[in-house]
Amino acid sequence: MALLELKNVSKKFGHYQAMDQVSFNVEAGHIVGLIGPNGAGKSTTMRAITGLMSYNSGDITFDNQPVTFNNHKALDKMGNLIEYPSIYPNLTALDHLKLYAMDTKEPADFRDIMERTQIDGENFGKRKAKHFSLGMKQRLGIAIALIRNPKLVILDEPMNGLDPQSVHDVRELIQSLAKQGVSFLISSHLLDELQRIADDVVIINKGKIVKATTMPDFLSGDEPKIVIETNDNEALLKLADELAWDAQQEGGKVTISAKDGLDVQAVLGKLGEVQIEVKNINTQQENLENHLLEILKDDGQKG
Amino acid sequence: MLTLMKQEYFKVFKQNHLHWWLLVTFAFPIFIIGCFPIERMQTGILNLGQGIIIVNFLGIIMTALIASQEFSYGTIRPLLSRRFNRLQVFISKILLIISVYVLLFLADFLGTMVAKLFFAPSFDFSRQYGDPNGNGWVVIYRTVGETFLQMLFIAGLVLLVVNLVKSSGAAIALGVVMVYGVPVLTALSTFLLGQLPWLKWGPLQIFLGIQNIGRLGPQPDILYQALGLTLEQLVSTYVAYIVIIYTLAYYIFRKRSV
Repeated sequence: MALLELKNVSKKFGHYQAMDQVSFNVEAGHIVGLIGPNGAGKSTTMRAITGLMSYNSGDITFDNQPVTFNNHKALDKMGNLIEYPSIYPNLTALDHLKLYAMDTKEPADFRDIMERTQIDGENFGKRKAKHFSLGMKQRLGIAIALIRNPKLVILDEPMNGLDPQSVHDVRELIQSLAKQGVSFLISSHLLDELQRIADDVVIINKGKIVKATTMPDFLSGDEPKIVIETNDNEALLKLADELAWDAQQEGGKVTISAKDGLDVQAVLGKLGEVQIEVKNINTQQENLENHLLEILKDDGQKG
Repeated sequence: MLTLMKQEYFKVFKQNHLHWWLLVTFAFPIFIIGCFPIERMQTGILNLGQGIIIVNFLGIIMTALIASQEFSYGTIRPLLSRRFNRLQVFISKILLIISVYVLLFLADFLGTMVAKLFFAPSFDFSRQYGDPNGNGWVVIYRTVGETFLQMLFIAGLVLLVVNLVKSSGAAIALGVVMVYGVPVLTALSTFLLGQLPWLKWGPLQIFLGIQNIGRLGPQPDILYQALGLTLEQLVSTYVAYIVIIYTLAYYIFRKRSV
C-alpha cells in the first residue's frame, strides 16, 4: 500500500477544471517530482493533499487514512512548504520551531534540524525572521516542514531563492531523509535538480496526469545526441539521411542521433570522408527537461 | 484545542507583544489618576481610570491583528494544513480574542486599584455613586459587562471584515468608528428612527441601545421611550446579532481560498 494515494481526484473552480481525474501514488521513502508548466495544477494538487482545499470527487489517502477538507487527522505526519515560506516576522527561527513542535508529542531535535537546514543556531536562532533573506526564510520553511518528524513532506519550489551551496545542502538533506524512509513530493521548475534526486516522476498538464512513472523508466531509451555546426549543413542533412541518423536543423546547428548510438570520432570520420568542415561539435545527454517538453508538446497536439 | 490555544498564546505574546499592551493598559489608569486629581473621584475611579478607552482601542487592534496576520504573513496555510479543521481554528481565535479582552480589563482594573491605593486611599467602593441599584462595585461591574458585550459585537464585525477583505486596516477602521463614532451614529440613528420606526431592530440601533443601557437600563420606562424596546428585547436581539455575525464570519472563513 502506497503511503500517499490519489484516486481520480477532480476539482472544478466554476467552469475551470483544475484537477481532472488525478491519480498517482507516493511510496514510502520515495522522492517524487511533480512537474508541469505554470497553471498545470501542481499547487492545486498539493493544496488538496494538505487539506487546504476541498475536491469534487475522488479519494486521497495518506498513511491509510482519508484526507479531505474536513478530515485532517492524517495530516499529523505530513509536513509541507507550499509556494512560499510562512513566517511570523517577530519570531526567531527557534521560536518558529518551538511553535510548530507543539503540534506533536515527538518533535524532531531542534538543534539537529537547524544544523541540517543550515539555520545557524548562534544567529538565526536569536534573530527575528523579519531580518532573514529569502534563502534563509526558505530554509526555515523547510525546517518547519520537518519539525514534526513527518512521513511525507510536500515541497513546492523548495529551491526558490537559495544560492548554489544551499541548493546542494537541501538536496543532500532531502536525499538523506529519504534514505531514512521519509517520502517527498516535490514540485520544482529546477528540472536538473529533480532529475538528480527524484525516484519517480509525475507529469501534470491542464489538470490531468500525463505520465506517472519512475525516473529511470522516464529517461530510458535516451541516447546521447551530437550537436554539430558545419560549413555545409545541407550536405550534413543529406549524409544523415543516407546513414539513417535522425537529424534536425535548428538555427545554424544540426542535432543528430541514432538508435544504436553515435560515437563522436565515427561521426567526425564520416564527415571528413565527404569533406564537410566541422566548426563546432558537442554531445548532449537527454534530460528531464527535453522529455518534459516533448511530452507537453504531444499532449498539446492531442488536446 | 489545548494545543491550538497554546500556540495562539505563544504567537500573541511573541509576535504581537501582548505583554507590552497589558503594561500600557495597567499604567494608563495610574497615570490618569496620578496626574489629574479630578479623576480621583467617582467618575475617574469607577471608569477604571478612563482605561476603558484603551481597552476598547487595543481590543480592536488585537482582534484585527489576530485575525488578519495569518493571511498577510501566509501562515494561514500551515495553520490549516494540520490535524485541526477550520472550525477548531476559528473557535481558537475567538477564545483567544475573548481572553485578550479579559486580560486587558484585568490590567486596567489592577492599574486602577494600584492608583486608588496611592492617590485615593479613602475612596469607598461600598458607597452608592448615583446608581440607585448598587454601590461602586456594581457600577464597575456594569461598565465592564457593557463594554465586554460591545467588544464581542465589534470583534465579530472585525472578524467578518478581515475574512472578507483580508485587511487589518479596514477592520481596525470599522472598529474605531463603532467605538468612537458613537455621537455621530446616535444622531444618525435618532434621525433614521424618526423616519423609519422599524429600524429600531437594525443592528446599529441595537448596538447603540446596548451602549446606552448603563445610562438607561436601570430605568426601563426611559429605555423604552428612547429606543422603543424593552430591556429583554434589546438584549435578546443583540445576542441574536452576535450569533449571526460570528456564524457569517465562520462561513466566509470556511469558504476562504488559501
